Amino acid sequence: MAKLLDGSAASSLRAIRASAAREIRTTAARVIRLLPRAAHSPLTSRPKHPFWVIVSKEMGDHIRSWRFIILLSLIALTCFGSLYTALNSIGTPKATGTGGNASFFFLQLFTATDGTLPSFAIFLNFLGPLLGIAMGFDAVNSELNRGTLSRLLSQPIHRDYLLNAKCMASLLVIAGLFLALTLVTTGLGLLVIGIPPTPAEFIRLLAFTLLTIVYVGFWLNMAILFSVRFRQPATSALTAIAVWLFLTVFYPILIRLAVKAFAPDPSSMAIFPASISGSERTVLDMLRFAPGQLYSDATTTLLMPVVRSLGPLSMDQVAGAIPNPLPVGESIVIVWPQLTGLIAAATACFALSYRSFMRKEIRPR
Amino acid sequence: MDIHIENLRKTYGNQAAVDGVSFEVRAGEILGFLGPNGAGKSTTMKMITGYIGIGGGDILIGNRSVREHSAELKKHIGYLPEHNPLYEDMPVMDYLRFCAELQGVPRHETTTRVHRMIRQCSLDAEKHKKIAELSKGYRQRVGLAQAMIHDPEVLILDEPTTGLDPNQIIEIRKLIRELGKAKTVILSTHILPEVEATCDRILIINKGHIVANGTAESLRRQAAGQEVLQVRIEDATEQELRLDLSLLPGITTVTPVDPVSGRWQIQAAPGSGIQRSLFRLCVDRHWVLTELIPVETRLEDIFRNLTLN
Repeated sequence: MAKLLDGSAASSLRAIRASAAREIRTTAARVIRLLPRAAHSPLTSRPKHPFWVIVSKEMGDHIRSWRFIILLSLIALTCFGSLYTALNSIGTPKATGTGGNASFFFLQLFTATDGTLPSFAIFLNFLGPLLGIAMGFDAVNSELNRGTLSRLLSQPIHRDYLLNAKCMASLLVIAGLFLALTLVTTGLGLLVIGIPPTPAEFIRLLAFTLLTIVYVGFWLNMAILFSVRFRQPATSALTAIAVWLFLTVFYPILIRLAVKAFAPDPSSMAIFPASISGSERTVLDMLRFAPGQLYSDATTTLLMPVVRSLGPLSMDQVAGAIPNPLPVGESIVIVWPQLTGLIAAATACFALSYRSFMRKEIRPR
Repeated sequence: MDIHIENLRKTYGNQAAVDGVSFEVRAGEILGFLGPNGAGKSTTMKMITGYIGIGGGDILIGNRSVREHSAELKKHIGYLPEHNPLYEDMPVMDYLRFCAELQGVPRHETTTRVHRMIRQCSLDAEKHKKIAELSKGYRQRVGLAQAMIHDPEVLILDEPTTGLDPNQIIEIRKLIRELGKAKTVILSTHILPEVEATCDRILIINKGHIVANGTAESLRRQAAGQEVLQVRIEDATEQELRLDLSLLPGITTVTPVDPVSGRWQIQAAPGSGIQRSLFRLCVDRHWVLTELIPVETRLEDIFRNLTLN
């Protein structure tokens, strides 16, 4: 009986298999019949837009270039190094970062440090500009020197497609890189600590990624501007690095020296505490001309929800305030000036390079 | 697509690179563009292709002005520049695909076109290599392939056979002749036999001006002004030959080439019927005429005469 049942089950299985095979064959035949039509569908018969053709080529060039691979490895290494120290420090009670607030545990992965390595956000403040400069310093002048620029412009494309496409391709690569790094860090953190990020934390991380893209985008556009202005790639690279060094290292020193020189007498500060906060505010306002400061302010606010203000606060201002973390929306409102400032600076650099490129006489070799 | 050039001018600073050049090229014609270095050939070609702007005058391609319809006309032009700049980091296939897409080749045709060009320009063995790894000859072929990838009606080739070996040169000339049956081709080169072998018409430019325009045959006729023959007459003495040949009607000079074997070079006014009267003289004197070779003026001499003065 059991054998009989087995036999009937096997035959029904065979019948099912045969019917499935028939179905697959019929579907395949239908697909094959449709294929010639698909090959000449309006989508495939339309040529690819030249702007996206250049964007694809530029993205491929970036991804294959050694300089990008080296910087990517560097950033990835620092990311994993910072993650490691963050995980170590989260385990200890002396963790610095979110101000000891346990409700935003996940964000500590990006800000916490045990002192051996800076946090990921601080690393990005330092390495991000280098990535932007590396991707833009020879965007136009190297093509001009090789003679490929005039070759490209003799194709049936608008002149500005070239600059727009170069900028777009670099921004897409940067966006992809930082989004991937943030997601990888989030994933690894999730695996190690076992606590998923809350929606608010996830939105803060996305906002932080967007901010990083805008920050690196500013340096990219500045490097592109120099690549349009200077004929030699070495000159444009050196100029961009000089600007970065000045704004990152020398500018804050100069501002502090200047404010110190013009600040009121320290003995009077004890009598008028308002003058202390005024002096600090001036220093901060002046420092905010540097993109690094804007980025630093914004990342601090986004990744540390307990930060309620970006300037010195008087006792009157904090009196009665409930020491709770801010909702995402309010943190974004606080960093809005920083974000728009960075976008404006990046746009200004792009506008200048666009104007310069469109007016440039491009002579073939 | 016909090309009509009217009073074309271009100046670099104070120097006029092209100064009032006018000519026409018809569809299905291959025009050989000759001139010494710095004569204005490449500048003229660059203006036709939209590589550089026009200084003065106009270029009409298919009755449309390059000034007004530059972007549209670029789709109909294939250009191989003299220095042939290429993206050296790209593999050959990717580069050709990129060029095809930029030229607006429909997506479903791109692969077919790329493979056709690779076959036509004999790039099969090198198609996956980076352009930086290719020899000069292969780079030139890649340049040719990219110029033809969108099947243009007008082909502008600036020294297309530079760097190619003799076998490749013959192949490329054959290809250009094939293409020239249906397309308008302007070809610039310094190899004069190449012009004769490939082109229907020759245009010589010097110091920004056109100094000669016509077929190789008509240029020779214009340049010679004299009919030159090399003859070999047997059974006659040197004195007899010198005297009797110089008495023939229309003869201007009689020069011995090898008097022992009876070889002489004679020059006569064109249309004087020198061959006929020479034959009758030999019959009358019972001399044997064993050679009668018309001596053609070499294209090189014409070129030198027109461009050195």
